[in-house]
Parts: sequence; structure tokens; C-alpha cells
Amino acid sequence: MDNPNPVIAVIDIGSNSIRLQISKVLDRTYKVIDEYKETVRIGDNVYRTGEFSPAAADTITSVLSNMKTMMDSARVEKYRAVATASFREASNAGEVAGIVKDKTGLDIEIISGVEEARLMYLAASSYFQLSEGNTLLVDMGGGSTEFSCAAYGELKFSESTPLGCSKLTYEFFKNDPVKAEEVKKLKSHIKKSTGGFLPLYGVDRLVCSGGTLNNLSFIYNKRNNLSDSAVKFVDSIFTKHFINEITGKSVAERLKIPGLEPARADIILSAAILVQTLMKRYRLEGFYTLSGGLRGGLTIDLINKMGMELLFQGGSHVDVRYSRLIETGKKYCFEEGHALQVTKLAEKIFEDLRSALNLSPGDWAILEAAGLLHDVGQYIAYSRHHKHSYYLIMNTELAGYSEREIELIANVARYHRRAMPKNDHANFMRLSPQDRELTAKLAAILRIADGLDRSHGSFVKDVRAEVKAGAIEFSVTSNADITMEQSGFEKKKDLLGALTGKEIILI
Amino acid sequence: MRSGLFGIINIGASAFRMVIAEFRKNEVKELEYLIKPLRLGVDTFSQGYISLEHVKQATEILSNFRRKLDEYRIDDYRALCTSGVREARNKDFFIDYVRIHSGVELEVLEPSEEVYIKYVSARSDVPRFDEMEKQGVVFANIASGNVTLSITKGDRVLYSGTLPYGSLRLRQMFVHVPFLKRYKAFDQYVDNMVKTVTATIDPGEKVSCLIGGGSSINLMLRLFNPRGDSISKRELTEFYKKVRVYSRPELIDELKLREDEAAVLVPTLSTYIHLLEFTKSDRFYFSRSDFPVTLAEFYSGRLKDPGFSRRVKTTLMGIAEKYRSNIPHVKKVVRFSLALFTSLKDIHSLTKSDYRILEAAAILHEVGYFIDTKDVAQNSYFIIKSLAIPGWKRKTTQLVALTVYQMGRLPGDKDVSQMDELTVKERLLINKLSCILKTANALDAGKNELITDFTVDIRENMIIIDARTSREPFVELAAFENQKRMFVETFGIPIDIRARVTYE
Repeated sequence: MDNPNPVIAVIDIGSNSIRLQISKVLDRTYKVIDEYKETVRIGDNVYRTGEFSPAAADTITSVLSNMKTMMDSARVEKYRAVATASFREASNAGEVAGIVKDKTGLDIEIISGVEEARLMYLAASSYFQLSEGNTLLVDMGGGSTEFSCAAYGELKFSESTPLGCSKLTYEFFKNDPVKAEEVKKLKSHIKKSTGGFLPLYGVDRLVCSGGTLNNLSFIYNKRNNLSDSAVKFVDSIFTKHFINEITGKSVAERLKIPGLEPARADIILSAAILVQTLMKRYRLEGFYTLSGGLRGGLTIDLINKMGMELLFQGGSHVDVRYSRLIETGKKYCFEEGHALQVTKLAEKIFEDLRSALNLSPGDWAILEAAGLLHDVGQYIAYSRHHKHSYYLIMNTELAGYSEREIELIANVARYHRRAMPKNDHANFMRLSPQDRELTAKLAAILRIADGLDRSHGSFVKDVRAEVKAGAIEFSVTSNADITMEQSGFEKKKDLLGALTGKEIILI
Repeated sequence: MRSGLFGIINIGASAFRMVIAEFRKNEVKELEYLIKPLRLGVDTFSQGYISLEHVKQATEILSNFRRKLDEYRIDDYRALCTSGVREARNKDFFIDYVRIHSGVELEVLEPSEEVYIKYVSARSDVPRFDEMEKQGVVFANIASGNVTLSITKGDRVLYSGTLPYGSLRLRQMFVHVPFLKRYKAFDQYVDNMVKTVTATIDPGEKVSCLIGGGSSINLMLRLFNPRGDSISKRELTEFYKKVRVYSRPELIDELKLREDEAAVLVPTLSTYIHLLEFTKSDRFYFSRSDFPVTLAEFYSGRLKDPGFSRRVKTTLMGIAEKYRSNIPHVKKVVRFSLALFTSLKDIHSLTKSDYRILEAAAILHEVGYFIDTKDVAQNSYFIIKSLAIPGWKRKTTQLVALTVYQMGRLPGDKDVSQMDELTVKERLLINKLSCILKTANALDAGKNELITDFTVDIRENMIIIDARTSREPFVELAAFENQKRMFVETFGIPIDIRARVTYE
């Protein structure tokens, strides 16, 4: 393929919805440029009768026909359209796929549960450091649920089970509202069905995908006023309470729950029960949801098949969070050399001042991200770019960071220049008092590190900071003219001086 | 076009200037020109605010200017502040103090307006500007506080911005550096400016001409005494190498400079040389326009910019591309929006300037996707309100940003705070424009260009869009259905669509 930035598309034909994701391949990364979804519930009939109804076949053809036009409009060069459980189970799946091919030209690939699990693993590896601990990945669809286990970065096993939320609902919940007895039977069925292949213990992290579990995490975020993001954490206490809350409600009553998608009102209970059973088994405090899991995995796989490896790929030694930060920086055309130099200097200053500023080693992750992304706002405009950096960091998916961490990173980046943190700054006051203090300390370090690369020439090779009685003395190693850096230091030492009450000197 | 007597006061970072001019027919006749040096920028660029001593001195100068205006019986004047005041933390106090004690009402000139006025002036002043623009031109206005750069190629503005690299500011920034190596600091800093600007321009875009302007030009002309309309890079570089290590007294004695000129000479030369290296040109051309006179010409209407609308449009398309908008879709939405605007003119009673706002909003309506596919309306709003389009006032930017936001916001999305600052009339305008834009966008919701054209049938109790389409437009019809209620609430008349599939 000659085009270095080809446009590619993936289509995920699930039991409940058909989704299209169009992406542009960039330098070892990709950017989603369009998404489209139709909630179709094509699996309903399959799980009742074993085949697609003529109406379902028409719906599939019509939706895919629209998607094909969108793909043509976006000049898609390569695509992969995959169908999962409903196609696997429908006796007339081949016939429907043939009709689609005739009418739209799209080739539908019916993938196995194991392939689904592998794709989910690929998607999760772009967000989570799977090289650390044991991660159980659960992709819950309408017809099936795929389980896979990654141990220290290696995919140990994948298993496809008929535990899809629509299927479980049809099989176990005959009453509305659901009876306690039915819930009990379902729990017992899940334990029995998974007991043979899931480990008894030792799972450190549970990562789930699938529209219904994502809807559950969306409800959780809404209730806790958290912003929406691709990766969300849901605690087990909420899940337990949610199950209790909806068990006694009819489907019509559940529709009043804020954030609950009407099309999932009936099937969300079985999904919540499955995930709660797993959390209980592994004594986990909660689980993560990953939206667009299969589409993400498909996109990564398609790019890999085109002979390209993404930034976060390349073995267990690759730091996924770091790679995604670099990706984010590249998206906003950051000056990579300057960003790396500032981060390097910030790390040295952080280590030297950590004890004096009462910082914990874990705080480095915040400063590291802020160091790499502090100038991304220049993509919007040079003027007030520190404020633009704040906005972009707050509104760009930063994989692997919690909501609190992202807000801290955004604030530290925001204060890398110009005004020091103030109580009349809304962004600053949104933070807890402890986080405000942390922001100020980390921003104080970042300002000095940025000042020491004022010329963006990476002229300072090393920096040391020594805390003395009335002063903090900085010394730098360089074999170049660092007039600009000295000037930058003088300009940007203000916050550290104000925080410590000490004189800040460059010797 | 005004006629009669008019006063322009420019409060710059190094000096206050006033022009008394007479406007007659198509001419601006300069009657009197006053200049009073006062380096407000020394305060602003070194400590961030204007000292009380300078506030008082400024008030005294402006009181004298006021008396001069009174002598001419001029009430019609504009007193415009640039970076020396604009960037001072206490600018509100400064403006209020001057108003109370001198009676002069100061206004702060927005950076985008400042760069635009200077650019338009250079266009009219520099011979062969159009020709140079075809090859790509950097117009650099080097003043005491800022360097305003306008980089254009053909009809397109590649970069436009006011950067904090003015000669007095540089001087203040490195005042502590020994003068023998101070030029190295200037060089590094200006090099950084060029890198910053270069990073925002597509590497494939080449520009090859440099035009200089601003208060520094008079100094350059005096020192180089050029015969034509340009100064060569060789001359400039040789001179720079000689004088860059001069102390200020040496500059004053040997080159016969004023104190304020000596302070800014070396950083000014460094800036020109770096810009010449950026454009890879062997000389720079200059505009002799004087800013206060330019302001008088601009506000009198004599300074015209016939290519303005076209340039804004191509610039906005460039921005849409930068944020990776789907350009065929954007073009379709622009065409449909403007067609709807024209067809519905009896219903909306909006003006030609509103038409331009709609056009801009249609071009930029999906830039927010670049940040993320969620909160697109808010992201687009953020990007647009941060734009500095030469010739646009802040209000225009705000209206475009809010139109896009209102068009894309989903039920339950909070109003952005700027909605509260609008007048009722402006809010109605936003509602009407965003409703038209939303309707146009619905007609290409699938981004498939299925609907090729439409006519609007305005009946007594209903508007019917008669759309011609190459295939049944499911996505478009669903999107249209979703915005029907908004339409009736905005215009008081229901709207519907009839899609006719046409076969070739």
C-alpha cells in the first residue's frame, strides 16, 4: 500500500448492534475518524428459532449497505467486517452473508469465539499494562461470552462460552420482574459453566467489554458524576447494589433508570450477575470496562496485517501508558525532542526534591505525563497554549490513567507557564486540597525543567538540585551555550520559590 | 466612509502616537502627527504590570493629546492600545485611571485585529504583494512588544499570530545577560519563535518572500538607506555581525541612535535574519506604513480588502483540513446550509453578515472530532473560540463557535458559559443559524453525499424539502426526523422532507 496514511474500516456485527469504525493510520498509531452504530437486536430471533428471520436479514443488508457508502465516502482502502455469535449460531448465516455480499460487495467473516477473545486481548493490550499480573478478559456479547486470561503479558487461554447476556436472559428469566429463584439458578449456571476452565484464584484484574457491560459502567459513571471514557472502573459494591435494585423491577420500571439504554433494560441483569460472580470469585474490588473492545482489536489487527506495528506493541517491556502518551503527543504534533528533554530533566529534579517536597514515588507518573504533554496545546494556538494543553489533556482519552490522575496531569501541564495556581482558577479549585498541593509541587518542578530547555535544543545534559538551609541550589551540566536556559530558569523558578520559601539558585 | 476630522491615538509599548486626519471623499489627509516616547512595555514585559509612575506619565501624555483633539474640536477619535497595555495585569486599572483623569477612552486592540490591519496595510503599500503572495509570503511586523506574523500563500492564510518576540520585550528578557553574549540569547530565542511557527505549518507548504513592517522599519531605513524597496540579507548579516557586540553607548555614539532605538536594534536585526533564513530568501521587502496612519486609513474605510471573504473561506477550509474534517462532507454541508439560508430568507430575516457566520460554522462544524468522538460539540466550540482569524472580531469568533456548539449539542449537554453573555438578539441568531446548519448536516448525515440537491417549498403551514437522492437515504431521513422539533421551535413552522430517488 503506497499511501502512508491509509483509511481503514472495521465492522462488528454483533447480536445487539452493528458498528462501523473508520480510522486513519498515522505514524505507528491510528485515529478514529468516524463511527456509526445501529442497534438491531438481530440475535433475538436466532436464539429463539435458530435462524435469522427475513426481517433481520433485510436489516443487516440495509445497515451494511449504508455503512459501505460511508466507507466509500471516506475512501477506505482496507476493511474487515466480522460477525460473531448470532452468525455462528444461525443456520442460515451463510445465506445472509451471501445476500450481503451480492447487495453491498462486503465480505462478512464469521469469526470463532477464540478469535474474538484474541482480538479483545489485542484491544486491551493498548490500554492496560498486561505484562503486570494476571488479567481476565471477558467479552460479553448477546449470544456468547469470550473469556481469556493473560498472565504477565502472555495470552494463556481463550474460551468461548454460550453465556451471552441475551441468551442467558431468554434461558433463565421467564418472569417480569425476575424472581429470586431465577437469579439463583443463573448464578449457579455461571459457576458451573465457568468452573472447568477459569482459574480458581490469582486474577488481579478483570477487564470486560461488550455493549451491555459498558452500559452498566456508563450508569455507574453517571451516578458518580464521572466523565465518560473508553476505559471505566466500576466498583463491586455498586454492582451488587445495582443487581439488588433491578432484580425487583420490571423491565418497564428499569427504563426509568438514568443512563440505561432501553434496548438493554432486559438483558443488563444477567450481564451484571456474571461480572459480580467473577468479582466475588477473585475477591476483586471492581472491574474495568473497555468500550469498542472488538473494534479496537480488529483495527489493531488489520494494521498489523498491513505490516505495521503500533507504538505500544513490541513485547512485554513496552510501557503501554508511556507509548500512549507519545501517541497523544504525536497526534497534536508535539515537539518530541523538547518534550522528552523536559521530562528527563523533570525526573532528575523530582528525584532530588522528592523528600523535601514530601512527594511519593507514584507521583512521578503524573509529572511524567504532564512533562510529555505540556505543550500539546500549541496545536490549537501558541497564545495561551498552556490552557489549551489543559483542555486537550482533559478531553483526550489517556489510556491507563484514572479520572483523578488525568485531571492532575492536565493541571500540572496548565501551570507549566504563566500564572501560578490561584484560588480563583476554576480548574484548580475543582481539585481536592491535597491534589492542589500536589499540582503546585509538580508544576513547580515542570516549570524549572521547561525553563532549562528554553531553546528547545536539549543543551542541558544533567541537572542536580540540592536543598540547603535557605536555598535550593541547582547545578547543570552542559557543553553548549545555555544563556537561554539560564534565563528560562530565572523566569520559571517562581513557583518553587513561593512553595518552599527558599531562594532558588542556579549555580 | 467617514468624512470630517478624526483622531487616532496608538498607545504602543515604546511610544504614544497621535494622528489628526481629515477624511474627504477617498482621501485621508494627515494634518498633524504627534509622538511621545514612553516605554510602558519595559514594565509590562519585565514585571507584568504598568507601574504607577508610568500610569501617571501616560495620563499626562493622553491629557495633552485630549487637549489637542479639543483644539480641533474632534469628538470622533479612537485610542487603541497594543501589547504594552493589553498584556499588563493592571490594564483595567490603567484604562479606568486614564479615563477618569484625562477623559480619553482607551480600547484594547485584539491581536488578531492588529495583525489583520497591518497585513491589509502592507498589501496596499508594498508593490507586487499579490505576486509575492502567490509564492508564499511572510509578513512580519516587528514592533516593541510583539512580532505579528501573517504567512499567506495564494488565498490561504497559513499562519497568523501575534508572538511575544518584540524587540523591547527581548531586550528586557535578557537584560541581565552580559551584552557581549546577549545576541546569542536573542538568536536562540528568535530561532525558537521560528520553530514554533514552522511546527504549525504543513511541511509541504513553502514560502519564499519576506516583507517587514512595524516601528522597526524606520530604523532599518535610516541605517541601510536602501535605494529600492528591499534590503539584502548579506547587508543585514554583515551589519549584524559588526554591531551585535556593541554596548548601548557604542550603538548610540557610532550609529547616532536614540536611546530607545539602541535598545531594540540587535534583537530586531536578529529577528529579520532568522525570518530570512526561514523563507530562504536573499532580501526582505518593507512596508513603510506607519501604524497610527494605517489605523486612520483602516477606520476611515479607505483601506480596503476586497479579497477578505475569499481569504477567510480558504483559511477556514485549511483549518478544517488541519483538524481532519471530512472535506467532501464539509463542502456539502456548506452548500446545503447556504442554500437553505437563501431559500428561507423570508422566514429568518437574517443579514448578509449572518450568512458569513453560517458559512464559517458550516466549514468548521466537525473540527471537534479531532480531539475525540465524544463531546464533539464542546470540542469544536473550544477549537473555534481559540482561533485568531485575521479580520474577525472576537464577537464573530464567538458567534461561529456558539453556532457550531448549539448545532451539535445533545440533549442534556450543559450550555457553555458564553451563551449567558449573549444578548437576546444574538441568542436568537445562534438558534436560527444552528438550526439551519443542523438541517443541512442532516441532509448529509451519513456523509455519503447521497442527497445531491434539493429545493425548498415554503407553504402556508409547512416547509417541504424536496431532496433528490441517488439511493434511499436512511441515515439522512433519521437525522432529519430528529431535528424537526428544533426547527418548528426556532422558526415557528414545521418542516418535512420528501426524498426522490433519481436514476441516472
